[in-house]
Amino acid sequence: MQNNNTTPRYIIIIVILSWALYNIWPTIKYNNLTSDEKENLLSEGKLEKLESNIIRQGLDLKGGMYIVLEADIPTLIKNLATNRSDKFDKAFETALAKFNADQNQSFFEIFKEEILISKIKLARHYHEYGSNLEEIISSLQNESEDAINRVLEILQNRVDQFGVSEPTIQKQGNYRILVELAGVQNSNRARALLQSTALLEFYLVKNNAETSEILNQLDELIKNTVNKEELKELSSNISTSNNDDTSNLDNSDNDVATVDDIFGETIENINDSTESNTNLLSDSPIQALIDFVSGGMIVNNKNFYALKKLISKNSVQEKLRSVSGTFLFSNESEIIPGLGKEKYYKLFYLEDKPELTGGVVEKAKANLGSLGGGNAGLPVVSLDMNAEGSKAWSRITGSNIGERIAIVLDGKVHMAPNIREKIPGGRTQIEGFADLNEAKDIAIILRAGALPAPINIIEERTVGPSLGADSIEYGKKSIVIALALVFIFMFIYYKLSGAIANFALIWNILIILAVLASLGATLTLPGIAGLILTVGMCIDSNVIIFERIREELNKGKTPKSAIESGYNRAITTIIDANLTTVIASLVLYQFGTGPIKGFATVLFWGIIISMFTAVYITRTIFYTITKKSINKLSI
Amino acid sequence: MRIVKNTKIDFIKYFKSAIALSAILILTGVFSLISNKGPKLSIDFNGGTLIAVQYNKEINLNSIRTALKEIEINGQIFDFSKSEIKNFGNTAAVSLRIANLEKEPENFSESLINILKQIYPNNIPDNLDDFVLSIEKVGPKIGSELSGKALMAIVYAILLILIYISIRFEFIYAIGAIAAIFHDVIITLGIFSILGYEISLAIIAAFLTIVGYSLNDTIVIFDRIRENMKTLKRQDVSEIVNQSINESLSRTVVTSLTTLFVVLTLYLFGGNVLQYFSFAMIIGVLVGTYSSIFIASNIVVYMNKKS
Repeated sequence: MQNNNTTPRYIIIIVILSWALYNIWPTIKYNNLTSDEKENLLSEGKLEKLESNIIRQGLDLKGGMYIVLEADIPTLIKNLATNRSDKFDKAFETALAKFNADQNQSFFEIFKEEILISKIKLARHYHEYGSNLEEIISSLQNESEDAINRVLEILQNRVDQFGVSEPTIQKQGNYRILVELAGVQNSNRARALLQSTALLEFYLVKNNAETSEILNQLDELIKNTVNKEELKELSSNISTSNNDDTSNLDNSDNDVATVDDIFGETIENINDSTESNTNLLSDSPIQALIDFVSGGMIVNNKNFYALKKLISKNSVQEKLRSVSGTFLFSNESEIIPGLGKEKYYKLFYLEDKPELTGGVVEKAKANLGSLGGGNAGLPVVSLDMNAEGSKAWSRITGSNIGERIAIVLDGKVHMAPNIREKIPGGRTQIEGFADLNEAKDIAIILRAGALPAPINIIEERTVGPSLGADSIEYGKKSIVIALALVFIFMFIYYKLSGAIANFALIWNILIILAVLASLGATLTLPGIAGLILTVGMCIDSNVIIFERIREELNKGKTPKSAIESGYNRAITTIIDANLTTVIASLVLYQFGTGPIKGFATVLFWGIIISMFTAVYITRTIFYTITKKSINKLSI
Repeated sequence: MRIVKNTKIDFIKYFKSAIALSAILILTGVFSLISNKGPKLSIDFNGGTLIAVQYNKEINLNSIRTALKEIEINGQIFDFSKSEIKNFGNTAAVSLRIANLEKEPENFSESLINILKQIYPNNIPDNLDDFVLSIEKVGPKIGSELSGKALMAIVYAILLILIYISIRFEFIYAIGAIAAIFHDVIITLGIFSILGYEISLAIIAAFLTIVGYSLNDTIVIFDRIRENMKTLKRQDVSEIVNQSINESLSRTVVTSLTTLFVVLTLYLFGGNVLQYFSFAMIIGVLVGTYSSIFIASNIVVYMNKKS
């Protein structure tokens, strides 16, 4: 192909290069803005438009949190079941165990199999969902998909109110949600905000006599069913403060009461030596882990795990079910005045059915408790209930005056005030927050509503701001140095032709950035690595071409025909070599997650664009040079 | 300027010693892999928690190890002294890697960060945000999924490339190219195993790039062989191959050099996060260049003679 008219080629090149500049311009402009100018643009409402056109930086560069949440489908299915029998529970547990062992299978398939094996009539437990197995399973499946969509909506709602700029919340696969929060450092807070089911419940607290009775019964039960070895293991790290506190009690005038004071019953005198821990545990395993103060039961932080483990034992749970009671802890451990520096959880013995649940909440607002109230200056969340809730609340409070009612959020007791009088307006306040931020977050999640299915965090990556800033710095530095080295080498090795290749290389990078900007893609650190690698690939095309041209020149051809045949022969090699890399990058894109996808995107576009810059643009320039016949080519 | 000019090296002569060298490299790597019970996988594949924090002065890793011997989180006692504790980029930064626990306390990573803070309470950066460099937590489920996906990615990439080369060239060329790829990946994997470096998602990406690069190199030579086969029909296959390697040698050397500039720059200046990625790339470029001459072309000669 010998075409002396290069005008059409120049038109194509100029159009593409202008397009690239047009697309990169917002990014350049944005990066050169001072914070004052940003403020101005923000007030004019133009900043958002500008931001939507720039190359966004990935979380690994600007810092932030990347979280993958997965809906706990098995728990959802279990919660939907009514009249659960032991047989059902057993089949469910087996299915769950199988599912946990092999995550690749659908839970529904495994569940169905187990139901078939144990010959359970599913309609008995899911009568709302159909009459036969197939029907029930498929509507449960629909219910789960519906649930995850509602979860997505609720999370969007929560995050919007949390106030993060440009959050990403998207569904991933069937039961997963990916959340990206740029610039979020307090991962604790973000995690609680996302993961909290926001199930608000009101439980009546059982009275002292009942509590005392169940504790004694459970101690008896555990003594007989749990073997000594296990108790010994549990006791290995329990707090001995129990004993110290009791002995302190006589000397100090604090409000710590003994179990006698509270429940009017005596437990055996506590021995002061540490060795007695084991004995203590084997005598009254549960009560040994609990401290009794006038406000009720408290549990030392160090005993928390051991007690939780004992309570979660099947026999204990069975016993609790038979008396329709349940144990719940307070949401956070705290220092109890008069008990030193150790932290304690409060423990509550409650009715196991809630009197009222949070679906009735209409408004939730966080503020500081008003002066004059018992919670003056403390962060509280004020709730307004809907008509139905108000009616129920007024009935419950009216008929239980003098009793305590526990306000429970996601299975943790926030407070358990005494009901002093009937509350008619459907208003109530929740206390027990560490700070105003926590109260605000709880208000957000209560407003957004409870999640229809519990969700778990299965992957979490947080990058601190300093590491991100370092990465940008390193990325920039490597690009500049790598480019400089390549430029110098190419210029020395191929002279003017090398300079032409360098020119093409600059445009290669600019066009890649323009494509990224127009795709709305995110530039991550692996993306920068991909960009640098493309530099190598792009140069390779020119090396292949130049070596061919040199060969042709050696054969005695004129510069013009050497260039012609050099390009024609090199092109098949370049296409073959580049296509295989394109294949690799497509596979990477298909199977990769976040960071790898970023790398693959840049690599893919980089190679495609290098065909334009390294072949088309340089060839056009050579055409122009050889228009006047020259004797020598600078190569 | 020319580095390589009109060479007439008899590469065929070195093919046998090249096979021996490759065999030694591969066997050493495989031996290391076997004795280490497979490659060392990062939390991306094994699951677990990785926390990196930045103190403001040099930290003695052993003192951190000792402090982690017995720690209490919510009544549970843990011994993390046997966990992987190492410097993260600089001597004042520390990373701690913990495998997934069966019963992980709530807010586990925050508790760990607090503990790390308390070990050197006076050496925390003024701005607390600067203390935590990164937290990564991968559940066991994700880990096994990612390994599956990575494996699939490699299998599919190789399959597609095999098909592509078979169509564009001949099947024996595809065999040669794939053999070279395996050669490169196994040697790089072996070197990672010997050095005790982890295989993370980023390293898998590096491996696939090595595959792409090595192929690139191989195909440039194959192209020459194909071209010369047409023009020099009468000559012996090994002579054609030898001539083709010599003719494309200049390009091979120049490209390898420029790519090496780039990945070396990444290795030296790319910071801690890209360090292992670029290391894999350096090995890949060197081994890839070698294998396209001595493995891929070698196999084409051998299989051609056989048929």
